[in-house]
Order: sequence, then structure tokens, then C-alpha cells
Amino acid sequence: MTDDQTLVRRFLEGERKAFEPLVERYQKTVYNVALRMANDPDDAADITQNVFIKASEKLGSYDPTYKFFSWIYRIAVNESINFVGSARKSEALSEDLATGGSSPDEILQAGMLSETVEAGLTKLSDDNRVVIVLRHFEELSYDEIGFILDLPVKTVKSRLFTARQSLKKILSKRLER
Amino acid sequence: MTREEYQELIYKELDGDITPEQSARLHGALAADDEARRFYEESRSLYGLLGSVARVEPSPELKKVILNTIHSSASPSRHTIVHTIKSLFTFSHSQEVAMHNNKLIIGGALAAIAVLYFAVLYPWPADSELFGTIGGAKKYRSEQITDKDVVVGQENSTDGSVGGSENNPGLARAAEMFRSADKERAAGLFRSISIEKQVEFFRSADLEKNADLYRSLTMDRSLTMERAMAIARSADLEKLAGIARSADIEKTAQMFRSADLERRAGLYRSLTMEKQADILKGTQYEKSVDLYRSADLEKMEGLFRSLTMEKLAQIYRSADLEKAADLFRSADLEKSAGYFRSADIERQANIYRSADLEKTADLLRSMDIDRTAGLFRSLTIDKQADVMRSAPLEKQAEFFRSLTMDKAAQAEIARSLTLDRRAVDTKE
Repeated sequence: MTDDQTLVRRFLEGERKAFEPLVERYQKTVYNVALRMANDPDDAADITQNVFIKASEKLGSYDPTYKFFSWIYRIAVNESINFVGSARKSEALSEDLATGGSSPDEILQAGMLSETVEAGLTKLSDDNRVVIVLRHFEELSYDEIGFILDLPVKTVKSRLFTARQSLKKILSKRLER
Repeated sequence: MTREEYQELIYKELDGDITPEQSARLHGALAADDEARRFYEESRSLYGLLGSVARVEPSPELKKVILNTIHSSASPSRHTIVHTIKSLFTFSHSQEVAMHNNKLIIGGALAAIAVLYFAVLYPWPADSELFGTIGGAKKYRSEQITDKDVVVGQENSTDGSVGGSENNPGLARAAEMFRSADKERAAGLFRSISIEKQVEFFRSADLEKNADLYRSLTMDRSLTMERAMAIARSADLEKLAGIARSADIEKTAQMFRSADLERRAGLYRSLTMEKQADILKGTQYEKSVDLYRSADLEKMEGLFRSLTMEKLAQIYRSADLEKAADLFRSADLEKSAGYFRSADIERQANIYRSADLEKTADLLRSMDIDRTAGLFRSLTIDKQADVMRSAPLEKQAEFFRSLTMDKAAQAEIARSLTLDRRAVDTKE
């Protein structure tokens, strides 16, 4: 399998098809970050598309001493935050709408647990949500998250702590209702 | 230990980054501090909840759309293909709204004219054209039927309702034409009409044609979840199962996700094990569990072996104890050990009780010392006693012989066992 850096170099040298494996490799990752940030599959698809378009346009500025996946993550996170910040679409999804106003038992029986978590995530600030997404859904290390968000590891940890505490409160309130 | 220290260690433990020394310190603190223990339980629950959110596969069309946009010289603006395609279907919905508002005149006639127009006159672009370029999509959009086309209709429905074909001559005729149209045209027609009409056609078509139709639909984008749900709910189970068996896995899974629980279980049972396994792999955790529960034991064992460790662990945690024990016995050591490690204490104790001697020994040998010792330490005395009561003496002996431990861990377990024995002796 050709490595990312070689594909980037070939694309920059004019081989358009070299971008295809990069899309293949990272589209699921980018899509899932976007989905958890925007909480809407169509918006996530749009964000994903824009991420790769931007990546193809700015590939000349990519520094190959860093991992390509960290670079594309950074674009994905920025694009998602910009999108969520401007559209604020997720706010339209109320907790009750996402779970149908169901009781905790109904939530569990109807298999709505993940929907409840997703709805809870939308209640977090963008800064807090993104660290939860990167750490818990993408399973990135603190160092990787720090690189992507351009933050010291210490700040990543403290933000993650705050985010988890907030999410605990949101979810326990919802599940104890 | 300060609050900050134990909180950091708890997250380290849950992240799997904790050292044995830190773990020992943490468990000491947990044993002594109610607040720390509460924080630990809350955090563990949060990790469990976050772990219940599965990763989602993007539409297979997405890659094509991205690459076409990048390769074309067209401006990569926010006017994406996704929304272009989406807007095509706004036609059907807005049309329905308009009909219900009495702004359009003849609902049934519309369906009939749609059939005539699309089945006979309109040259349908292939899927690749629809999704591959903006041009294809725009062309498709620009030639939708209009009010002008409706006036040709002779049907007598005036309220805009769709109703059943038996009460709607226009729809009945449309359905008849639909049945007689060739595959490609029928598929094109099907994609173009509203949910209610799709449902109606779906009911009226024979199985073979339904399967063709379903296969012809492009999921996620052109067939929204709403549509998929309406279609899946409208078909009887037998028909749905026939379609699911003949469709490719992605579409079967999509159909599956959109069906209600009862239908889903029936559908699931009707599928081959290979498809069941694929669906389980791609389905959200909670739904996987429902499905898993609906399968019979023989299939379940096969499924179990086909799944990833992560999903197995999730399913295992949520399965009822009896089934979990059966599964456990049927799985190989590596997997058994994997879910044992992921299970909560109650389940671990139950596994311990239900497993045969050889597997228990293997299992315990496969666990690291800290975890083995931790398991015993973390059981309440009642539970320790319960586990011990249920294990025959030779099993306990075998268990101990199989452990490779340092002195401190042995002493720790011995202390636990003294408590267990005391509890057992008291009971006896």
C-alpha cells in the first residue's frame, strides 16, 4: 500500500488519481468526526466533501514531517466547528426530539441509548464536544488531540475533564428523568 | 489521596493507561472513599455510554461525489451534489404538502401521469450519471413533471389523498403499468415518486420486481430514511425477507435499520448467517443486541465467532446471563478472555460459576495479575462467597495452581479467600 506522503507528492506533481486512495482511507474518519459534531448525516456528508476539497486545494501547504491523518483531522475539526458555529443546526434537535421524550426504560428497551448520547453531545460547547469526539469516538491520544487542536496536552486533559463532567450531568439528568 | 489525584487515576484506569502501582493506590482510595467510588462509577458509566455510539459508514456515493468535484474544474462551492440530489426529492414532499393543501387538483392522476411520463417517455439517466456530475443531476431536476402534465389525467380523485390502489383507479392503473414496465424504467419511476406511492407500488408488485426495485435504489441520499422506513414497514415480512435475502448487504442493512423492532427480528431470523453477521457488524450497538437476542442459539454461536472483539464485548455485557454463559462456553479462549476482561464484576462472577474447569483455568491464566487480584478485591464479600460456594473444591485448587503471581498478589487473594471461606463456613 502506497503511503500517504507518496500519494500527496504524486498528486502535487499532477497525478490527479493519487488523491483517490487518500479519500478512500480517511473519508470514514472525517465523516464520523463531522457527524458527531453536526449531528446530522447530510451535514456530515457536506462537511466531509468540503474537507477533502479544501485538503486538495491546500495540499501544497501540507508539511510532510507530520502525519497526513493529523493534518486532515485538523481540517475536519475546523470545518466542523465552523459549520456548527454558523449553522447551529444541532440546536434544533432538542433532547426530547432525539429520544422522543421517552423514559429511561423506554430508551433502553427501544435501543435509543446511542441517540440519547448523541443528543447529549449537542448540549456541550463546541470546544468540549470536539475533545470528547476525538478522544472517545476517534480514540486519539492526548498528543494527537493537542496537535489537531493546536493546544498543549495539559489543556487537552483539563478540557476533556470539563467536557466529561458536563456530559455526565447532561446524561444523568436525561436518564434519571 | 487528593480528589485531583484519584480523578486522574480513574481516567487513566478507564483509558487503560494505568500502571500496576497506580492501580493498587487507586483501589485503596476507592475502598476508603465514598466520593471517589461514586466518581469512579459515574465515569465508568460515561465510558460505557460513549462506547455505545457506533461508527457510521458514509454513503458509498460520497467518495464518488468528492472525487468528481475535485477532478472537475467546477467551482468546489458549498453547493454540493449532496444537496442537489436531496433537492430532487423535495419535489415529492413539497408536492405532497401542496396536494394536501388543495393546491394541486388531481392526486391519483398525478401518479398515473408520472407513470406515463417516466415509464414511457422520459429517458432516465443511470445512477452514475445522477451522482457523478452536477450536470446529470441538474438535467434530472429540470425535467420533472409539472401541473401542465397533470391536466392530461382523467382520474377522478380530487382530494389529493393517495389511498389504496383498489380505491384509486389512477393509482391502480399506475401500479399495473408499473408491473408491466421493464426493470430499468420501473426503477427510474420508483425513484421519482413520493413515499406513499412507493409504498403502494411496493405492496402491489411481485417479489421479484420488488427485489429489483430495492436493489435499484441508491441508499442514504436518494432514499432517505423516511422513505426506507415507510417502505420497510409497508411490506409484509415474507416479502421483506425475500428482498433482503436477494439484495446486497448494504441495502439489506439499510432496510433492516429502518424496520421496526418486531419486523427486524423476523427479518433477521430469515437471513443467512453470513448476512446476519454482516448486519450485526454494521448495526448500532443497541440494535445489535436486540438482533442478537432474537437469533436462535445455534446461529448465535456462529455469529458470535464472526464479530469483532469490541462488539462482542458490548453484546456480551448486555445479553442475559444464561445466553452469555452459553456463548462463553462455545467461544475460543482468546475471545472468552476478551469478554471476560470487558465484563462487569457480576458477569465475571457468573462466568466463573458457569465455565468449565479447563476454560476457567485458561481464562484466569490469560488475565494479568493485577486484574485477577483486582477482580477478587473488587467483589463484595457476599459475591466472593457466592462464587466460592458455587465452585467445587478441586476447581478452586486448579484455579490457584494455574495462577502465576507475585507474593503480594497471592497474599491479597488469600486474604480475600479467607473472607470467603469464613462466609461459607458461617453459612454452612
